[in-house]
Amino acid sequence: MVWLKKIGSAGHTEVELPLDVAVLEVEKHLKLGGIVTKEDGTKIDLSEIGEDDKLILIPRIVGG
Amino acid sequence: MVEIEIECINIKGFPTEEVYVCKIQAEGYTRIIPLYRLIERDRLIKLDILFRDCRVRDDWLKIIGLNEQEILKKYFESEEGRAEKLFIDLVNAGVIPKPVNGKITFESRGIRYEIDVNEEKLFVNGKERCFTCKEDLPKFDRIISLYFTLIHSPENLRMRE
Repeated sequence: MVWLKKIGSAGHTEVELPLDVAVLEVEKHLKLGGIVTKEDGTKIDLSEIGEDDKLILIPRIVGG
Repeated sequence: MVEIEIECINIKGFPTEEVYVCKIQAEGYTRIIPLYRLIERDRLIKLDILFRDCRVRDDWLKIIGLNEQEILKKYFESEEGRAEKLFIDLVNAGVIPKPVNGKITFESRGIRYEIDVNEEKLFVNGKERCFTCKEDLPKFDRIISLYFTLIHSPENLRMRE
């Protein structure tokens, strides 16, 4: 299972998902321009996600 | 005992709205608690009367019938407070640098960044820059997201020529 904590306008949502479902969720988030990190703040790519990972999904911030 | 101050401030909008907030000195920054979102309307009206009639701020906690700990508890149960709790956890875990005098300063890829936590401003190599998020986030979620964007996707904040 992969633990996902998503930061968004709906507040903090926390879910535990099977690996394949979590990968799909992360992929969706990355396509929207968001960032996914491990709990220690390091960036993680789709291919690196493994069982028991704890990930934070961060929304897209833009500026200039 | 937590030192807690009440203040009446204007918030953006049309028309602008006068609201009550509490200010507490947190570790390295000022915590602003949106009292107007945490307590019931009848208690807010009592505050209006107190401020209009005598402006003795020392009595305000008695008037709303809460103590400092109860205000903090209500705050950390709210979306805004939960976002700040995550921010504190990330700072304590050493993921986000600790704020000093209300500012987080760090260098990444040779660029010096400063995030003013109190004023919610971003400075890149000393120049103020703007940032925004499509989603409506609590202040500390915006700061967390901004920090990770600067570290991992700084191209999102590149100034257009």
